[in-house]
Amino acid sequence: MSNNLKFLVDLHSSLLSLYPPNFKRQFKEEMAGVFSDSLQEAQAAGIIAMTKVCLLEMIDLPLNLLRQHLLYLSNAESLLTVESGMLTCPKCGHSSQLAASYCQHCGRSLHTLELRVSNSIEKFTSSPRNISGFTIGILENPVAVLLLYIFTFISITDSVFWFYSSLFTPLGMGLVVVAASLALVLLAWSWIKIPSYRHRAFFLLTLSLGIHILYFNADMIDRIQIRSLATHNGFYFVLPGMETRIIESQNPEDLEDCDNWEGACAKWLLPPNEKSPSYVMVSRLYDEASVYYLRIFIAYSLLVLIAATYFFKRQSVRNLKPA
Amino acid sequence: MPVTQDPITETTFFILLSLAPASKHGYAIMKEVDRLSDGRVALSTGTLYGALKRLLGQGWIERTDDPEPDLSERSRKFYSLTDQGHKVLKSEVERMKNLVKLVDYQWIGGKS
Repeated sequence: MSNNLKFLVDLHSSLLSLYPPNFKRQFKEEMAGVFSDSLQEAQAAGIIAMTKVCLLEMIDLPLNLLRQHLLYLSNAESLLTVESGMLTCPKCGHSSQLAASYCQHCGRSLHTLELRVSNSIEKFTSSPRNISGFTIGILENPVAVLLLYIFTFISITDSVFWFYSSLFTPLGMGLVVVAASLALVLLAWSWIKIPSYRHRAFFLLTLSLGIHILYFNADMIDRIQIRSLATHNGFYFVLPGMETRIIESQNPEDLEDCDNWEGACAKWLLPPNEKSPSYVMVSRLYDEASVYYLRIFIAYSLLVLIAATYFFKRQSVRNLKPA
Repeated sequence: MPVTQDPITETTFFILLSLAPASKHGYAIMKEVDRLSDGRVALSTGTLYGALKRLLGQGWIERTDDPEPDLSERSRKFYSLTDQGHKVLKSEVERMKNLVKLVDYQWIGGKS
């Protein structure tokens, strides 16, 4: 084999390393061999044939890499499996004892709930195939599910935080803490107890939708907010950088608008009623710092969620018993 | 239960067809597909083995060691059609025949 040929074969072998571990383990050697055979035959036909072989590989490589990595990530082949009472490592394929925490061969962590009993055929056939193709493929992607988690979590914390923070009472504060804790537990529970990505995604979507229907039902929320603010005059829950203003006027045009406020603002206009003949403008003003506090709170809670999930996963795998 | 419901892709069809007469190793499949398609379907190694992996998972083909290993060369894996693979191929051929019949009846028959 000439030096040029050897260089091309070595380069191709290096690129094959970019495939996911299960694919490499199964086919890397064969693929390198086939490419080498193709090149040797093309060499006899001339430089154009060799170029054609190399170009074909290079053009197809990115799409094939993407396809195999998506398959690997999509709940199909990255799973820890149990065969004959042994854990099969999804990375290297070696078997370990059921109680093992790490693969003895490659060192991969075996802490995961993505566990099921399978045989060699089933291991391949659970990829997102027949049910509804591309959509399910996306929903089964862990990245998409993670985004759904964030979306759901922000929905919960946002609605809970803004709604109950309008009351400066122990009850209001307690509700914030309890509701946020429940949100965390609910998300951790869905991660742990719902084994299928598809079902989990459906659960999260439904949850998010429900929360958003409630949260963005502006009329209802505004009525509750205004009533609570107007009836608890002087007892507002105020974070650093947060301010609540209530201004009354007979003429709504005289009411101060908060649109020129530098931070975030929310306003509600309460029309005259039997008790109050004036228009009432309720404004909640938040400077930029308070928005940062909220973001830090959400980020911190997400970290807690991830840590709790990891902890529960470990516990759950350790409690596994052979079938 | 039907063996397959959807038409299979051209690449899959040619791979299955290339394996119909006898088991083959990867390079031989690649060459055979090239020959059968008259050079129209050129497979890269990534496409070929991606398809083989999928077909293995579907249970349409199986992978075996070289039945006559040559110690002077690298070891090769051979691929062959399973019974299910044969059924899928046959079913696809039937589907194509029916399509051709339909075309004959609807178009060519209509002209005459």
